[in-house]
Amino acid sequence: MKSKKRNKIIKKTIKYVILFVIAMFILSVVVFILARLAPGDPLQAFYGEALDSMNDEQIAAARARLGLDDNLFVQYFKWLGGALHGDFGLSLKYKMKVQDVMGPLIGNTLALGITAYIVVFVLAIVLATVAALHEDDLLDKIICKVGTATYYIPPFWLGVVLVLIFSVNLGWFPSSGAYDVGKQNDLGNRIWHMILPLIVMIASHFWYYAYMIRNKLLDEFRKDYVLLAKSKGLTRRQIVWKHCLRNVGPTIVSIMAIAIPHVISGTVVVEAVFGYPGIGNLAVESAKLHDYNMLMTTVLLTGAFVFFASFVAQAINEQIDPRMKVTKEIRW
Amino acid sequence: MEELLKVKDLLVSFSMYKKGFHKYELEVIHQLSLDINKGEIVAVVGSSGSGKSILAEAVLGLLPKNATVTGEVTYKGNDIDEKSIRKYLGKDIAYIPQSVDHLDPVMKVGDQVIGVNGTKERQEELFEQYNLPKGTEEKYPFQCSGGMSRRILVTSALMGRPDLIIADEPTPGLDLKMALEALKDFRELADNGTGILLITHDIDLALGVADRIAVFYAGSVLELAPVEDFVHNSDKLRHPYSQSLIKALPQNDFTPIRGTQPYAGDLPSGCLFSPRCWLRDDKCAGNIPMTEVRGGKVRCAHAADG
Repeated sequence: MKSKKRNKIIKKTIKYVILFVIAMFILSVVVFILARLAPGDPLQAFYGEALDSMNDEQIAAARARLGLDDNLFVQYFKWLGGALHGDFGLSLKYKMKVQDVMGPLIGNTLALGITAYIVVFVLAIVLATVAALHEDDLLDKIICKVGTATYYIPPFWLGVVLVLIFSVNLGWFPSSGAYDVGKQNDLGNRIWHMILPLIVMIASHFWYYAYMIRNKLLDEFRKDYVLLAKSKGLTRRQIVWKHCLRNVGPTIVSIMAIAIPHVISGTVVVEAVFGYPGIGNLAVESAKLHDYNMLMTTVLLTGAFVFFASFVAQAINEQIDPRMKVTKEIRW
Repeated sequence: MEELLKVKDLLVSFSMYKKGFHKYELEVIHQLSLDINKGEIVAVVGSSGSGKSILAEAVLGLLPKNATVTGEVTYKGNDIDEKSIRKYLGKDIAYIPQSVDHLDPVMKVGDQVIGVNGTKERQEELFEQYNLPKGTEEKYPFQCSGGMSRRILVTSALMGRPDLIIADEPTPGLDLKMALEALKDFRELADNGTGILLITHDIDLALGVADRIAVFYAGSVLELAPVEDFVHNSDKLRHPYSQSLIKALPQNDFTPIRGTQPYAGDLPSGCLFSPRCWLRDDKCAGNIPMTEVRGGKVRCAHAADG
């Protein structure tokens, strides 16, 4: 019985690994082709202003040197060969290997993104539950109005205002960067730098999810099983805690999986406003400047994240709602 | 006989919206009176859509916010309302709902039956008593058949050894014989002192199991009488509607009643049955109180005439 279960898990994992490889392959091909279809010249990124003063021969030589002359097929397999060995190619903008550019920055973005993600969802679930429990009462109305207002404050504006108040006027928090010079390994210093960016990230994201969860909970409160639980003498808190939250669990987990790229892309604005060194900026730059290899890597990284998240979400949901394990296919 | 539950002049209305923001009150249950004694099964018999389930939910305090409930409900002599009934729920008063959708789809049925007040031992005892195979408690509702789910709902109600059970259509989808078989347990419970309010649309079932029958029509009880009055023919009955109901049964005259039951938003004034009644006269227009006639209670201006 147990080994059967283990076999099933192994089988499933293998299936997901194969799916992952296929998905990444397709994604890389699509991004590769689309990037090259977009109008613009990647040499612009490499040479910048200097490009204007180069003659045709020099440009042609540069193209050949950077491998931009080969046909798409050859270019792709060159890239793929490198990528499989952990070499994601040269960043045209930074004239360095992509992994060397991203390496030191990815940690910053992950720290910011993951912290924001966790706080956003804890806050969203708590606020949603409180609001739903007080449906249409004053408390619910206040939460909804404040939440909606917060959601519609543009994050770049909020960032600037926070800097103005808390950095420039009050001097409580630093206005930019991820750490003070020379304090790279000082955790306290890093957290201190992260607070304002975090506030902006959280303010611009939590209500979107909180409102979804609130409405889903309200739906759930109207289900028949709530009536039966009530008739058995359960208190409101017991019903919500023991029954309703578990029933909306799969929805919350799915939303959380979908939210990963959403929240991560939220770092882009924050990194720009606070001059926070992260990969969000790199991603935008790479698309703008035709930095092909950088673009590929950031997109694939996000893709891998999403894929992994949906895999985890599916696994968790099957634990919460065993109906999902029994995959009865519908015959139309 | 000890009185368990007494409902007097219950009125339930819902505030609803029609066409945009025009708000109106829809009265679904009016002037409803009935009572249940210890050890007695009272069947509330009424046609589909007449508001029987709302009666159950109103007594148990399960109605949504837009419902208004007025009237007097007492349990063992104590006034109860939506709030004060809570201390009885799950212990003294139990509810068997109409559909198996009332089970939480993502919780094991064993845990659901135990709830917050129950014990594992009692659950095992009940499952055995109701022929639920071993291991059922580890299953989820979607893994149980319809019949099993029904029995799970019953065991869930019996968990706290209630004195009063309100059962809303506990036997849907079963033919009369099977349903009566299923209700044998109810009879046994009643014989041991439990009062049961059985809500059903099946008059044959009610005749087979109940001690008294409440005839439910358009949101009110028109007649509450011992089951013997219903069994042979309609002579003993006090209300023209109950009489014609019995006459309409296939085993009796099989003569239908003309007309249809009115919609809750469009009720006649005075006697609810008057538009379809052959005895109708001026007396039917006013407010007709529930009166005691020949050992039963009836709401009809002509009942005392014979």
